[in-house]
Amino acid sequence: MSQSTPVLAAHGLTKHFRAGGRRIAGRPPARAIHAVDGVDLELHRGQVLAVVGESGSGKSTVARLLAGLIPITDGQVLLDGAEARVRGRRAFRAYVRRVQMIFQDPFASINPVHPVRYTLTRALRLHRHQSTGGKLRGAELEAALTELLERVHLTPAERYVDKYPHELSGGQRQRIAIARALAAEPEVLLADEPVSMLDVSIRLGILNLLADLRDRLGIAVLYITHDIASARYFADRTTVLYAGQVMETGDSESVTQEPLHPYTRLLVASAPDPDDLAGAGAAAVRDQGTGGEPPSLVDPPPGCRFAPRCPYATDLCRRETPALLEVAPGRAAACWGYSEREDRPEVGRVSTSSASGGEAGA
Amino acid sequence: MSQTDTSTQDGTTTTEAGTPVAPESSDPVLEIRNLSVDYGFGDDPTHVLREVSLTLNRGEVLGLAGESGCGKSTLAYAATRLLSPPGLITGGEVWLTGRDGQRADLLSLSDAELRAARWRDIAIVFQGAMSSLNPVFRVERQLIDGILAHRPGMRRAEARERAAELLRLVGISADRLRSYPHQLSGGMRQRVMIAMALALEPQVLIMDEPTTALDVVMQRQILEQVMELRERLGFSVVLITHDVSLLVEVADRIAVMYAGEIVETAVARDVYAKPRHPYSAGLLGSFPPLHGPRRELTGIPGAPPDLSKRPPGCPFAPRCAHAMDVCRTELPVLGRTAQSEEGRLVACHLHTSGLVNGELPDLLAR
Ligand SMILES: Nc1ncnc2c1ncn2[C@@H]1O[C@H](COP(=O)(O)OP(=O)(O)OP(=O)(O)O)[C@@H](O)[C@H]1O
Ligand SMILES: Nc1ncnc2c1ncn2[C@@H]1O[C@H](COP(=O)(O)OP(=O)(O)O)[C@@H](O)[C@H]1O
Ligand code: SF4
Ligand code: SF4
Ligand SMILES: [Mg+2]
Ligand SMILES: [Mg+2]
Repeated sequence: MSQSTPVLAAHGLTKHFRAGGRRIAGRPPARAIHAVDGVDLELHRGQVLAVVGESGSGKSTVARLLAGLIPITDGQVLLDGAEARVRGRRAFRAYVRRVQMIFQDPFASINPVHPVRYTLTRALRLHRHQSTGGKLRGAELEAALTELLERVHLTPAERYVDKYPHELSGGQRQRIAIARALAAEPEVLLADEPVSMLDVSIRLGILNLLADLRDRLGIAVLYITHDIASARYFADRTTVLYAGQVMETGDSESVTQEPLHPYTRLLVASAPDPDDLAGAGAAAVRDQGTGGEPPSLVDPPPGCRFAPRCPYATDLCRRETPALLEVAPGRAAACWGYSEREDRPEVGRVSTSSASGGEAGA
Repeated sequence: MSQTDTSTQDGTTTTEAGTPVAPESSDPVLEIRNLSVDYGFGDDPTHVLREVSLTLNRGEVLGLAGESGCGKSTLAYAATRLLSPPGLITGGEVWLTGRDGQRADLLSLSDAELRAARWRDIAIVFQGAMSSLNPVFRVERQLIDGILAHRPGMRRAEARERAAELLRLVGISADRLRSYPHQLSGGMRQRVMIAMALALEPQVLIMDEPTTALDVVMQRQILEQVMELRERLGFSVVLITHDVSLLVEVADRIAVMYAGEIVETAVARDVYAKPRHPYSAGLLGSFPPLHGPRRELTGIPGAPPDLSKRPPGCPFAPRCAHAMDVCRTELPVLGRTAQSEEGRLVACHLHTSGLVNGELPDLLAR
């Protein structure tokens, strides 16, 4: 792990939603949906961290907590090592200037009635007026708009600046959303499934853009996705979330090629694999415990949350929650199989790299 | 019903342009021929589908791939005559072969005949179907209504039993019958929609982006279930998705669509290992592979064309690295590959002999 102070870090990040809405008199107290339970993560300058996990695993909730959009139930968010307090409007604004969020749906996140110029000008003025000692206008504004559009590779800028959202393709709209986020000159970009609503041919361009912003501007990027293959390509590190908890974390290549946690193995085995001539992926999924759905997050029982689906689960797993254990340098897994306990389950080691190459091609 | 069979003795069919086309399969269940669809009324409609021909064989999973807006859903709607205005079928035939061997052109049936045929033989799971369950009724009621619409004579108790059985088929326990849609996860709702489709006992199941909104684990579970049911219940599948890497694994054959036309059809593995159309190659190069060595992702430059302003010639030309002069003036038609491979068709001038002397770019010559 990097020794430098992470630009944004979460410790024990927890979010419980009340289940079933308002409390009704005479009924037992409302139960809690444990959407995020004790998540630790670190975002470093000039790095992309992917958070992967199936639907409902808590990925968006983590992003919304980090963006300060919803209150934290428990835990800490540290910006440059200092606890971020986002209570109050001014504190919130100062925070979001440094931590910006990009949403999944580029159609919904940009106001359709205004041209690009309006959307970006507003963002620029909101975040930059103090630094220039007044309202950004005239040639200075034009230059800032052009620079923003060029940063997201919408060139020549004149062609795009007076367009309305409906005149832009999905990919172009997502670039505008990114440009709007960049107007604040943030240090952190939280991107919640930024490409999953986009066409395949456009996805690559947006992901390359994020990688480019990381490299050129040194921005720390949180890349949320359920596409673990794209995490391999675009993220330096990958954290795997399941039922609101971190199951595994490490550098992306290792996590995807030699997953340690049984859940990560299930994810990797489930991903479409055109090279899988023998249907080994399908078989592996069956072995990896595909039978079942993600657990209910309402007052979850103790123990490993993956235990009901895990082929290796033992009594220990059902009784006690495994901590995130360092398994190798920079790699950690929350699974009893990697502990020193005598009653630990035998999880074996499935190396996915054996599935690569063409030797199965006969 | 007359059988319009244009086959020559050697089993090849001949298109109007006179290009020889590979032999049609031995056992087609659904044959789409020269299907054309326009959107918009008046003098200037948009030609969305242009003479699309496609065959689904019995027991087969046919994958339909292509970027959004290329006409995949339109094809599914038109082929089942579910297209609604401003969509208009302007030409073509859709031959369905019944279990009894009878063939009928769905496009020339009367509405009454069609209703009977469609209910009996083709079922569609629509794109975004999981949000189309009625939120105010329990799953049970919606399934029973579907079953009774299909089998009007059936007793309600019997239909209830059948509903439970259908749910179990798609891997949901029968006690979920009493649930309202919002009480089910996205994956479960999608399975309920598949159960509703199976209630029709179809010969052909068309699934339009059935798992796009779901994560990979759920996606695989659902597709494997469908594949298993296909063998057990004996139906054929048209699977529409933009995710070619998924199709390569699941489908028997793949048809790649671009701008309202089929540009390549082949056995799934061949499309992946040896794409013949520059667009297919580009689509495959847009997906980061999870396994195997890291490779450079090429992607496809530019965006699909606006179908209302289609330039002459090959619709892919503005994005194609191999475009030649002829590509900008003449529309390539679906025909044999330069390698004359059995069972493969491609619509690209690079493959038209005489234009280039069998010289293919390396990527397309593997
Ligand atoms: N406002 C809310 N009230 C109650 N429960 C919520 C709320 N927001 C999220 N949840 C629950 O928290 C859990 C995590 O949801 P979240 O949206 O973070 O998942 P996700 O990983 O982003 O999923 P997806 O891949 O589908 O986007 C889910 O069980 C969800 O139903
Ligand atoms: N109701 C409609 N009216 C006008 N144009 C439509 C309509 N539905 C679809 N289209 C157009 O037809 C083309 C093909 O759409 P569609 O079949 O939905 O594509 P796909 O399913 O491949 O994404 C697109 O250009 C789309 O904009
Ligand atoms: S702790 Fe036990 S149940 Fe959880 S993943 Fe490891 S082996 Fe499976
Ligand atoms: S016909 Fe020409 S432009 Fe079209 S795909 Fe082939 S080479 Fe490219
Ligand atoms: Mg989400
Ligand atoms: Mg569609």
